[in-house]
Amino acid sequence: MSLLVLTALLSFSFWLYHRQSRIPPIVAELDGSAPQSAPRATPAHAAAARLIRLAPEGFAVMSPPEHFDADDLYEKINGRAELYLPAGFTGLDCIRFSSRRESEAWFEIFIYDMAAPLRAFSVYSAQRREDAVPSDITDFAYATDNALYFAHGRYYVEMIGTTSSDALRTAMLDCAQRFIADTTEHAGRVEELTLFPPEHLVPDSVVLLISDGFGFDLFDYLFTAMYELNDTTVQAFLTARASPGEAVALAAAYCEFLIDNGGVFEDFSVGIPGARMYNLFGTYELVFSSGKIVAGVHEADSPEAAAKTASALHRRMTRKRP
Amino acid sequence: MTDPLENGSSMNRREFMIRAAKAAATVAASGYIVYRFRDEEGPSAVETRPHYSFRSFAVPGTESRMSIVTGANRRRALNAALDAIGGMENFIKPGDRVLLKVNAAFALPPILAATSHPDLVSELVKLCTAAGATRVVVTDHPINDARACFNLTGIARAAEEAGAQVVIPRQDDFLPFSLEGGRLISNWPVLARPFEGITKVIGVAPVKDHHRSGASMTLKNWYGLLGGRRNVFHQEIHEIIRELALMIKPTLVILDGTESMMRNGPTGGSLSDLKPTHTMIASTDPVAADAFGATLLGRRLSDLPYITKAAISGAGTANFELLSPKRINMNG
Repeated sequence: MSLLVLTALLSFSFWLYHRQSRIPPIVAELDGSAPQSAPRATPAHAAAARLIRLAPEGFAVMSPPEHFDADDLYEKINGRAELYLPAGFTGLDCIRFSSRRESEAWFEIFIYDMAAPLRAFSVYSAQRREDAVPSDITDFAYATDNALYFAHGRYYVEMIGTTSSDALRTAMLDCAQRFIADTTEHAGRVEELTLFPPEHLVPDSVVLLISDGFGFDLFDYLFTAMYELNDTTVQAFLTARASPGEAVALAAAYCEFLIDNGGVFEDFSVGIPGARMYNLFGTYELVFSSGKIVAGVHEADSPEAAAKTASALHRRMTRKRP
Repeated sequence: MTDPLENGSSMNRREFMIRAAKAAATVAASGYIVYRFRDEEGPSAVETRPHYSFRSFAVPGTESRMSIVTGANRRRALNAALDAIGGMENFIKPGDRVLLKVNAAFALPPILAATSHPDLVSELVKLCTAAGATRVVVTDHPINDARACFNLTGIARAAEEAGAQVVIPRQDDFLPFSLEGGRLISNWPVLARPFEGITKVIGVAPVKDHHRSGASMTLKNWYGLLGGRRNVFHQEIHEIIRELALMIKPTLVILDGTESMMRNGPTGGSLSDLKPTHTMIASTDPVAADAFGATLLGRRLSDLPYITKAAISGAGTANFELLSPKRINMNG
């Protein structure tokens, strides 16, 4: 009996000791329990092997594969993690390849797994460089002097090079093709893109905001696009809902949001059923719904520019509606 | 059920009482042991370490100095900027031990201007040595793979070839620190050991866009002195930068706007993110340096609340014109 009690109590003592020996994460780094600045743990064996297979012709693995998840993404990209995390980020794999001929020429590939094609398109569109050269590697791809960027299925991929040489650009393209061939992902078609009228559309200006579009918490999956009208630029937007009823309700809620933030109703004939325009401290907001889509114009310089852009958008949406 | 005391078993009542007493003693002894193991306050690695405190590294009589040099060559622009505020000899004296706090946050090549440029680091080390410094330490605390960050940015090689010692932080280089009146920097691990014996501190940072704070310049550069899971501060980025501005009083700061990262910061990645703004700033007032740096990024003070917060807290002035900065154009 006493032996049983003693055993139980000793077990409890060891458990208590163990529990109290564990150090919270914040303190752990200070206490030496965790490496302060060692390379990250490598990805799982299969994932690491897949990364290594991406080495282009004439290039060798320069540093071991790395993997980051939502908890430690900031360790790799610091404050930029805040762009990826709200958009649904699930993992980042990285590896560097260096030229066998020229050791100073190397590039790093960043493969962001965003869990869904629309989320990958979102982070792709939010960072698109204005002066980039379109690439046909996927539907959503462009290159700059030293880098290649593209979205493919649920992945958003960046390749960052150390120089602007042709050899490095060719190697990055080779690597990109290997990546695309090695994934089972398919290029995702973004239907909403076809709803924006192409006339006066600023090329590659469509951006997808996953949440809190224009600071309005109900505006998720909000597509925006820039239009150039004469001497002014106008931003059009649209977002799809599950049903026409939900679209009507969302448009009404956005009107309320504008009023709450100082918007004043502007009595201006737009020619779109149910459209409402607001003057918000000298800029003009216009919102309407058509079928399952809520659409409109954001921060136009004049009511005329807002109305003209919205009308073109409405016509296009009406034609495209099945 | 039968009673063992009444059914002829070997244990009698006296024996039972003795055994029960022993069991009770065992329970009491074990309970005492458990009680001794109990820790009311839980684990704390920081309580056993001495708290660190930063002294001021400012040189009396050099307050409110600032120069703005226009020029594409980093080394020449740096020399001109320092000469304009009295020369390095005004700040570094024979026998000084200098710490250069660089930005080595990312393992990216210098061409991308995401980190302190190696030419600038090299020139600063040489200037400090020429002014009589007996030791120059170059350090930063990149969280991920610090060695790769120092190597691939070119900072390690540039610093060592110029005669400096590169310190890549280790666990025991961090000590807990509490900023007086600080809400965020309270009992927080900071990079302290490299500061031992240091008499002067120079911050050197590039001009960059930053996704969270709007910009990363000389004040945000002190973020690299924080240990622990410092990303928890991202939600209060302007407040943590304000506290960092109060935590460190450097000898001077160098803000490198030769190539400014206009977007997609703090990492950037594309050469198209950069703009050749060809400007070098030297100042004893980091707040003023950042306020001017904001103009290179096309930002207003209202876009970067941490600058005004730091100024209101007494860390410097946001109106850099009040310092009557010396302006030099090396292009003309």
